Amino acid sequence: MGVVDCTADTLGRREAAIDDAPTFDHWYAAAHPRLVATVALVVGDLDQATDAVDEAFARALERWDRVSSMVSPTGWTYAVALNHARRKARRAAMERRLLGRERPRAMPAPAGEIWSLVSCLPRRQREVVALRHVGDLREADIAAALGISRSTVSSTLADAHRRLGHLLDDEPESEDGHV
Amino acid sequence: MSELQRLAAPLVAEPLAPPPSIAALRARNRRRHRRRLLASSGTALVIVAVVATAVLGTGSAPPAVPSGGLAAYIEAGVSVPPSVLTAVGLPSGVDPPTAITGPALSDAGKPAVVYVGAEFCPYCALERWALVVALSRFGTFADLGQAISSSANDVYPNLKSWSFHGSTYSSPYLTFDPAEIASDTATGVGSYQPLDTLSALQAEAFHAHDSGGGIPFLDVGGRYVVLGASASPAVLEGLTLDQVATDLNDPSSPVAQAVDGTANYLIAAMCSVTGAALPACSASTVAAAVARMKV
Repeated sequence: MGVVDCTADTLGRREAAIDDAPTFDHWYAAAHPRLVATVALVVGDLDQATDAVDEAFARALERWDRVSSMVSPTGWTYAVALNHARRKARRAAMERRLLGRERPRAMPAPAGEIWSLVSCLPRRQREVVALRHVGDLREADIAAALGISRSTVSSTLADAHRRLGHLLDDEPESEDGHV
Repeated sequence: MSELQRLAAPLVAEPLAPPPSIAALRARNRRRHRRRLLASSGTALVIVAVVATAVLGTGSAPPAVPSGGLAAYIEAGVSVPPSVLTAVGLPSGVDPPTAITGPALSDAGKPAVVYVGAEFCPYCALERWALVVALSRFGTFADLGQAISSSANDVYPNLKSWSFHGSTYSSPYLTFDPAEIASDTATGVGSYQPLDTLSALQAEAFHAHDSGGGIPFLDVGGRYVVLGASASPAVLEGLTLDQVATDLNDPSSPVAQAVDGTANYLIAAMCSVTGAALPACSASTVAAAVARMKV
């Protein structure tokens, strides 16, 4: 039994299975938990992530006739959520500068455990790693979501791999087909 | 599967945060629309300017009424078959008008329907389409069909619609008193050419029930009000007037769901205030809509 290729094709089919769901309700129920986890690992704050993800899904609902026909509705929603989170982060940073307020971060276990592993990465690497390994997005969809080229996604993943090592290694498939 | 994916699996199996209901997502969208509308400096400036001119009575005379009858796309709107309206029903994405108490709004001895909007306003575009579908059950329009396009620089840019400015409407059951308080002609960043000044009737209703000064505003006989668009104007994005008109007659289209669904509520509100014994008022959707609009 060979090594499981848990990369583009495998995850692409999984993504497609979600994205081909006929209704917003089904897609929403399936995609929401993963999106919250992914964005939480990018921004390092569950409250901010939840707000951004809810905003993104609200916008997807409003435009569902168009979003549902996109190659990756989930990728589009990630992009909207990440943009929303960035805007909120900029506002929060300004608030901290002006008012001296520091907002406590909320990352409950087990998200807190993963955060402790990926928080050492630069922001862009953390985004790509989270979208790829937690969000289950294909490299092409990550490129579209972040507005970067696919080769940049690949090289960013390679850089992150050098820093995180074994955490990002795919494991071999066992005899019964499970990893 | 990588170690990181294995560690992340519990985050998906046991979600970090519960997904909001669909209704909550829709409510979030409505809040965002209202914030953006109120934050629009152009909207605020125009409303202040027009309300001021209405109160002070210093507005200039409106331009000449466009000549001619109804445009083809309006004809499509007024002729949406009852079967289509019944098929659309009362979609969940449409907000019912709000029932209010207080003095009835009437004009010339008949219940009055007051609309306050602006040609640049994208939310008004959706409400206009619904109004023409609903009002055509009770009377007839004339001189309607002056094509307009909502602001290119606002949310939902360039939505295709038409203006109530200069139009006339006659009905044995009710009166319709519309005001387009600004045109779609920009005079600067976020500001538009003032157009209609508010009549006494419009000002009475607008000031009594729309303390935020937002548009579109709709008052049906002093019994029901609509503040903001009843459904998302996103359904009109990228469509021509003829495409919207065609979609109005397809119950499964997003346009019909939003526009005809809104019209069903407006028809019910108009039936309620007029007591008209019209075929439209005996439709099954009317009783259901009235029940949902109760105080």
